[in-house]
Amino acid sequence: MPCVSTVYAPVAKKPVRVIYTGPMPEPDQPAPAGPANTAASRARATGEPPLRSPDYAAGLGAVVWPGLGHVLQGRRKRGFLAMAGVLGLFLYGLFVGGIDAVDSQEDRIWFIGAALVGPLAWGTDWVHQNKFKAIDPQRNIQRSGYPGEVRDTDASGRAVWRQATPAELEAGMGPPNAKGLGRLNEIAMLSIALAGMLNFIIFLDALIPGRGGKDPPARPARARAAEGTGG
Amino acid sequence: MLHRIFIEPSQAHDAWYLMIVPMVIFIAIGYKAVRTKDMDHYWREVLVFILQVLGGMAALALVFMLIVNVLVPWLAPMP
Repeated sequence: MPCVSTVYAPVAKKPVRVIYTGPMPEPDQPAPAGPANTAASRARATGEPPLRSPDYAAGLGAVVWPGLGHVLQGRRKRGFLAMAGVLGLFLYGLFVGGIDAVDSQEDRIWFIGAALVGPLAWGTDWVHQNKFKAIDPQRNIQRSGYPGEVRDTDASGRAVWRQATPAELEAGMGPPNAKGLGRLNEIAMLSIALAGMLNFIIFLDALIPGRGGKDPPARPARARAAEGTGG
Repeated sequence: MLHRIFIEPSQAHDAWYLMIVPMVIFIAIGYKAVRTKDMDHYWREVLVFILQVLGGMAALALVFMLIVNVLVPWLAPMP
């Protein structure tokens, strides 16, 4: 027999009437499981909009920019905080290690983690490879500049390294950036790789919401009845 | 040097061990944003996460310091 209850829904901020068509729960039994007690109840419990799973649009948004998937789902606070975490880690890595900390050619293993940040990391690597590195004319490889070198172009238009003239050195010219060294370089690359791994977790949470952790245990029907919210 | 920020590496080589603190803060902010069930408890969970990680790292540092400075010299004293 259907049971009509009056419950307090955090989303609506007012009492709403729901119709429960299952058997009446015993006072000591937990609330029954089922579709009405999963996505909708989770949405009511968290105060967030109901979510689809999988949500491909949110997954795509999370790939494009950290946290954008959550924002598209209406979970703006989570989205902006996730964005702050990932971008904070990424920019902190750049702050500690400079642009040399994102290098798909010389630090390929680290870049696998960094690439998970998304287009931001790929763009940073592109700028590093194309605007800061140049060809070593003797060995014909692309590398960062050494102290005392300046970036120039050869006859074919390629960016190459050459020794700076005394006048250029006097003017303070040199390579556009210095390579990171030692522990600080490791910490910088670690921070950026962690940003990528964190962004992967955030991407999964946007694509398949509700998979993280367990829901809080359902309160016994007796407790709900004592508060006037039970059936 | 402000115009070289994010381009040139930092020169804080003597304080490398302090670099973990901002990293842990950012990890906690991002991780708890998607793992916290009730966002009313978000900042408390972030703080607990930060303290747990930093406390764990400090404990590991203490253990390794004892091993290197006390245990190893006791087991294999230098002649």
